[in-house]
Amino acid sequence: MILALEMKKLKRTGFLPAIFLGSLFACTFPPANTALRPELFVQQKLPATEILLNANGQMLSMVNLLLTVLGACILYHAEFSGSGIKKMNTLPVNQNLLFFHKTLLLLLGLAAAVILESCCLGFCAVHWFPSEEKLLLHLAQHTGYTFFLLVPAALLMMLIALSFENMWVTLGIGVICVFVSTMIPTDTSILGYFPFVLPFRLLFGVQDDEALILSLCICLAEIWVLMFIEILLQKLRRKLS
Amino acid sequence: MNTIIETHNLTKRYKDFTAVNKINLHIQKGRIYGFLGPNGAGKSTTMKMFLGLTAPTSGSFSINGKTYPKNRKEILQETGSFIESPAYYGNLTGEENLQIIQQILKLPKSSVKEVLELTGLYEHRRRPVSKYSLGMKQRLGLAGALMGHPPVLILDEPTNGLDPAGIHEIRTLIRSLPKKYDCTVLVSSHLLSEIELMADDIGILNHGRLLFEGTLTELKTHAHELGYPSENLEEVFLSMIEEDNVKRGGRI
Repeated sequence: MILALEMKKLKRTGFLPAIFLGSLFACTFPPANTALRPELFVQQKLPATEILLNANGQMLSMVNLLLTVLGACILYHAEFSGSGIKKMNTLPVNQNLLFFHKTLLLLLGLAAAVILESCCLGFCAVHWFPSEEKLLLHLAQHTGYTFFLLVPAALLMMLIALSFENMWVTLGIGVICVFVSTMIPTDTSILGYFPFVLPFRLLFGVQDDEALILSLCICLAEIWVLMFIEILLQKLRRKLS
Repeated sequence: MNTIIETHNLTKRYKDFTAVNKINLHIQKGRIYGFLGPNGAGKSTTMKMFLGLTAPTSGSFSINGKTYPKNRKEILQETGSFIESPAYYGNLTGEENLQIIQQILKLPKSSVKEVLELTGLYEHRRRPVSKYSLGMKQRLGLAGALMGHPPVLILDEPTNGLDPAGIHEIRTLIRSLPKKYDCTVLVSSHLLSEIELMADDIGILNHGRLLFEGTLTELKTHAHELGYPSENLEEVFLSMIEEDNVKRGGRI
């Protein structure tokens, strides 16, 4: 029920068009990049998905993070602009549930974006690497991995959006986080696991299974910690208000 | 008499500032209780505590036999509220805003139409709320509070921003609620003239302290006993506030 309510609140906010147009924009990179210099890619002796991700993965990750920032801003701007959130606080509905359902909506939007981008990679692979084997498996692995690594960033961004009534503050913090993250190497010991840096870890860039499992475990731990922080934040807000 | 809202030494402190200071309210069932006090007296803070929007520093309260924080959800289920400025989703229409409340409170769909008609918003139901005038937003807030005929209504300055005709209309509506829906109304204002025309009982608050609680007739008697000019209630109210300020050391 709450998910349906949250979807209703998104009417006329531009959330769905923003996510859709953003992912379409991301989808233009792989075909354009490959079409402009095909000889650079087709000669490589690597799986097609890996070649395409090595060439476009960072850009796709950055667009996905920007969509995360944009989505969180829109979701909470709808709450704060007319003080709708204040009305929600006076109704018998759990505030944590509202937050998690909003986050779920953002994640659904991001999942759609990641799937669309994977379809685009699939198209490029079929077009430029016709003899490729295991394409579907690689694409499915990449889609799941990319989406999972986006979850902590989405949660953190939603927490930031919940904390600041002024959307421009949320947007500013989000954009700074995205651009700072592009400058941090993913193999840095601690900073490399910051929620905004995680999405830059590409599946085929991971050295071994151990490193892959470590990334996924840290990602899962971050999800739990951020969810716990949200519950604490809501309690603290009520206490301090 | 049957008390529906009762507070016991209810206090709210912010660091070194006491917004509400050990107040003991007794609000009778089926009546309109006017919560009166100058700006910053602690009216909104008290109402916010009733809705669990802010936690009391000490003391306790019960609404319809339910206590906070144990029964917060039940209190919210049975309390319609309108606190400070109207709260709405500007991107949604008036009808969609009320549908959200209707779904959360698990009310029948007809309840939306009912409150839209009651507050005179039915013909504007399909307009986005961002295009509403302040008065219309105020009515929408009131419509949201009235959804499902809650036994307790908490209205914080509900006539703010309305024109004289709108004020009269809302006042008449509030006046009719206890009979129509068998509910209790707690309504705040900083204008005695406003409360005088609406309330059965009043509570006067100043700097977080409850100076008086009783009926309007009791207020007149009380004022007469203390030597205040009892003919004009506005003067009584102002004299009480002034005397309390003097007692507090000239702080206004």
